[in-house]
Amino acid sequence: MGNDDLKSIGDIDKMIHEPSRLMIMSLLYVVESADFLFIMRQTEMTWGNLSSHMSKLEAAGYIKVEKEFLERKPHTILSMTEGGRGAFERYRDDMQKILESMGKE
Amino acid sequence: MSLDADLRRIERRAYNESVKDGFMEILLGALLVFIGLMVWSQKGVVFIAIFPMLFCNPLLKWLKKRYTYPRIGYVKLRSDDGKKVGLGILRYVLVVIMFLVALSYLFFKEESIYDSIYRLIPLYMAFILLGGFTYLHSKSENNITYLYIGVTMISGILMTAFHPGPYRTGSLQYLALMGLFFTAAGTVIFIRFIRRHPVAPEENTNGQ
Repeated sequence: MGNDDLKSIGDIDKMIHEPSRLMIMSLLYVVESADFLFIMRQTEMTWGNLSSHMSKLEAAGYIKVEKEFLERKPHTILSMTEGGRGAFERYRDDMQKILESMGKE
Repeated sequence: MSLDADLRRIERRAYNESVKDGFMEILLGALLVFIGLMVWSQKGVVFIAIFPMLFCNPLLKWLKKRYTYPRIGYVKLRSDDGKKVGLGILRYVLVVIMFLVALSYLFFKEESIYDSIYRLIPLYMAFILLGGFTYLHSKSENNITYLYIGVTMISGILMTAFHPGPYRTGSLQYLALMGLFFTAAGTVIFIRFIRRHPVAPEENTNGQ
């Protein structure tokens, strides 16, 4: 692997690359929207952990968070923004190139 | 590409989660019994088309809000291109009808059109359900769809080929039998679902 290959590893989107956030982004990429409970169950994260990562992704503009009340109970729905979708696709392409460059010699 | 395969796996899991409550089977069963009664009564055939749109969707949404979402959460899946799906369904139904017309001409030439139609209703419904379950399997890859396909096709073929008549009764019997089968299957799935998944604690997004 050359210097360019190493640099490309350093350039990947760290916001998405964190494992918990990658799980959240992967799930939101394949659905239109999901609520907090669904994501928590699919990713097996705790409330607090998911909440923390959700805030970071929202601050980065990758996900949209809508809070409502359903039968007087708080209900949070998450969906991916267009920007988030583009970022995820770029991350996926970058990772694909990196993995291919690491191919068996 | 393994990354794409992983995403497909995640999507399939999300799809399976959304249908694990048994409501699809229960409503399908009720619909089949209803269709059977409409066919039997020879009245209100138009309601066969309107009923699903008027009652099934709102009822399904209410059931999911009441029993499913509080237990496993809510997910809205990405929908397919409606035009493409509609055209696909139309093409499939036309092929099925053409096949059944050919079958009728080859094997049931001596019967009246009235008898032929009623005789072929079980096989027609079996093919319609086959189409639906094949689509469902493509989304979920859930092996229970093989059971559903097997049950509907085998009973549809047997009912069409061997029912002694009158065929109007045979149609009702097939639809009622399938209706009861799916309602029972859905009920069992629902009971297992609510036992395995108690209502989740209230959302707390403040990190506690």
